[in-house]
Amino acid sequence: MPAIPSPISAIRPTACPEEGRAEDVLEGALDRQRLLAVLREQVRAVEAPGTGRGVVPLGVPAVDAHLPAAGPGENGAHGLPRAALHEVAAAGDLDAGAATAFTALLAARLAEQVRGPILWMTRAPDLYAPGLDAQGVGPGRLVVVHAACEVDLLWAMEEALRCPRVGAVVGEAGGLDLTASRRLHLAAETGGVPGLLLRLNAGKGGAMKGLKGAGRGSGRGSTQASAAVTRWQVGTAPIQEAHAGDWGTTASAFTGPAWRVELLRCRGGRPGAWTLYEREGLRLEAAGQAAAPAPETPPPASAVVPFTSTQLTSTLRAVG
Amino acid sequence: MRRILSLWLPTFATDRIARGLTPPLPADDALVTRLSDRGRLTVAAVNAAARAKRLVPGMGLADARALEPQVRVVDADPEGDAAALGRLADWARRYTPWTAVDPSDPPGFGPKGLGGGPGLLMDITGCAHLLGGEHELLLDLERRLAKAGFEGRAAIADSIGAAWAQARFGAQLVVPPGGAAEALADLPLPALRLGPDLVASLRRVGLRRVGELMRTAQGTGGQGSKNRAALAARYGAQVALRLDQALGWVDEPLSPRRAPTRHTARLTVVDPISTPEGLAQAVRHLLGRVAASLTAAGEGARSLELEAWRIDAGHDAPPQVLGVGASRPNRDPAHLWRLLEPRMDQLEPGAGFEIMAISVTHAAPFDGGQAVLSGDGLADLAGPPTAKGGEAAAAGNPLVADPPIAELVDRLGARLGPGRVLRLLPRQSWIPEQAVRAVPAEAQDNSPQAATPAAAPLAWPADRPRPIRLLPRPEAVEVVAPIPDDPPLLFRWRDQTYRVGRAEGPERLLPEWWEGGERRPNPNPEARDYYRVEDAEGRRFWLYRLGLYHAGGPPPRWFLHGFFG
Repeated sequence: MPAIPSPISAIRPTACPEEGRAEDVLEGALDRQRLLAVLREQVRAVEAPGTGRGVVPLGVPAVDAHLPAAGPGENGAHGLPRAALHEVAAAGDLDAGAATAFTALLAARLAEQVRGPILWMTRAPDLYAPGLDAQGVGPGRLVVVHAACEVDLLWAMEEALRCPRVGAVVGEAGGLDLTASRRLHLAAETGGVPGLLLRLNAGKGGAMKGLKGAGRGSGRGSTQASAAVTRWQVGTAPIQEAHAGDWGTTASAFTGPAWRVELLRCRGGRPGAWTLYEREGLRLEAAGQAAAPAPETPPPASAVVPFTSTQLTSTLRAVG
Repeated sequence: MRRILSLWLPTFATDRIARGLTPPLPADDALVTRLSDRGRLTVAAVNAAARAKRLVPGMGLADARALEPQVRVVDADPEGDAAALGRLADWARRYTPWTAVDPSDPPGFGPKGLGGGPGLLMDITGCAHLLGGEHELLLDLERRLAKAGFEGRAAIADSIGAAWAQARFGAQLVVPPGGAAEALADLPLPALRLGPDLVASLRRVGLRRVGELMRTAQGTGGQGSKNRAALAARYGAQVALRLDQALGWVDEPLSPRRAPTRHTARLTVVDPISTPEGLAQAVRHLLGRVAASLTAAGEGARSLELEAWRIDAGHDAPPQVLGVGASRPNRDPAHLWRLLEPRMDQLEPGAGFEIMAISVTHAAPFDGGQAVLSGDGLADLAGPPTAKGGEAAAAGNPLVADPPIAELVDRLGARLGPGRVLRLLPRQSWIPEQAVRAVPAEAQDNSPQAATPAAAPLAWPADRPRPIRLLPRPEAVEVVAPIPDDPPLLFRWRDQTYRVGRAEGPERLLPEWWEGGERRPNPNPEARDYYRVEDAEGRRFWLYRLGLYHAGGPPPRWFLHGFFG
């Protein structure tokens, strides 16, 4: 939907000349400017919550460009807000591995600058530490919390998020309502600890088939309201597809995973979809630039019933 | 000055049986327990009515039946008696943390015709005022025992020997401090816990009372040591020792049933506490006192216990206990309360608790002071600066070296229960399900593997890709695979068919030769050939073939074991 970012970008250019005029005309221009800066910071904090404590770039320019910008004084880096709640959903039932690995990667990246442990709350018995180690969550940092029930899990997550010395908190939560996710996000902001919700059972029915066409149009995983700052949907990509780069030079086809990663929602940023693959040293790379503008492509015609499409165009017209 | 309470339960075994009888045993019905002693049935214990009919422990059952044909005979249950006595000793900790079981005396000890009968010993030093004095404590104890159906006699004195003697032979319930010699003087010699042989030989020389023995031992005009030596030479060291112990000249240790801790706080209330608010207030009060005691000793609590006695609980209902552990010595009442708080609803106050106590079951030198000083900005100094074992602790478990993290781990563990907050550490095993060692997050890692130098920490080999999710139990799959050891082309798992796009392998994992043997059969007796396969969608699975193809044999089975990221 190209129309949504445009109003925001349309406001900004008008705001800037006004600021310039004020500087010329009014006394105490410096105060005014400072006030504006404060206001702008407040607006930014509302638009992209959690960025106040800095952002962590993923290291893939194509992806980072879609993520919110850091607060002032951090030379305009874009990345994942640290003190915020993020959500990673598996695209399908069988993408649990991919979603887990991607989450582990994000957790390791978000916790890179701090010393604290990474707490992984789960109710499933199948988390395998050697695999997490390969994604940068080593045994020296990992603390696994086995919760008996969802309530315990969320309680433990909140408790851990409020502890500023924690590196990152991952929670494999199932059903989570808006209030619960707000609580978690608030806890993450309070403690300054990144929180990651990993949702493995997001896909129901048809999870294994038809992944190719399942863009954001399918709405899977995005039906439930959530206070998470970013929402990702992760599936696997065939390694052949990820071959676009110089993949062939590596000896094994299995040295790094390839993921179809969609940024479904991003407060203070833009959605996007990429095929990412992991290179040596946990470095992410996007497969070609062709995949980057994926969100701008309209949903497949077959997925849109005529009524909805007219509805959609009329709203677009109203906005534009 | 120590104050010892000796409780004697002359008819404990029969009382215990009588309590369980319905309808209740009439007061004048004789009841004895029988024991097979070298093929002969003998009476092991008698109740008061049987004693009145001159039945005594140790006599033959046939003799007993001849004396009292109506006697009720029940099999003796020494183990049950011991267990019940243990429970009684636990119950008695309502009076003092220092209680011990006083086992039944050997035959011939104690008052004639009563047999042994077990008892309890309690060090009530500094405890009696909680109940208004030693007399009140004794009365309370005897009243509660009588209500529970036990005949009990108790006495308080300066030494175990004196209290023991008064409980069994004397009439003076409370021997005032320093009055042991006077109180013992009139008692017969068996009151000194001397065996029948010694008593008989002392009696032969005309010594009948403790007082006479005391005078003999002391002698007159500086002859004491000589007389004592003569006494010891003639009758053995036992006589002098027992006398000295009773008089409190020789210390006699009382080993408590459960080691009391140095940091204990207890609260006795007149109005039983039953509301959650009341309980919380009481516990916080106790924690504050324990914390003060810990601070004074420079220690912190690694684990502590909350005990609560219900007002309506029977004598053998042990106190309700809540135990919590901290990952590093802690003495912050607020933190300790946060550990206890989530478990408070496990207490069942019923009609209310009348006594609550908190004791530190494991205390360790407190090292939090420096960590607090170092603050957040000096994370590098936040390691545990304990004098000894500090570095080892840091190497073994870096997580709990950081106090806020340690407290978080405690809180999580306290609410979620034991074994739920874990670290997953490498273990040297090729078998995937055995390559991970889960240890409690708060535990110091003392395994030999952790003792390896920190320069070469054990890790999972990086050159062997491992899945990120491993099925707890490998699931059988049907495959289409070229023999003998090619990866599958197609496999079917949970009613879905997956076409393999690419595959890599095999990685052969052999059973570990040191596993198995006759006593412990190897759970993985066969070799596994693992393949990493990818289906058309790019999903990566970990499959293995168990065993090899054998001509003529059944084809080996295939399993799905995990999912790669």
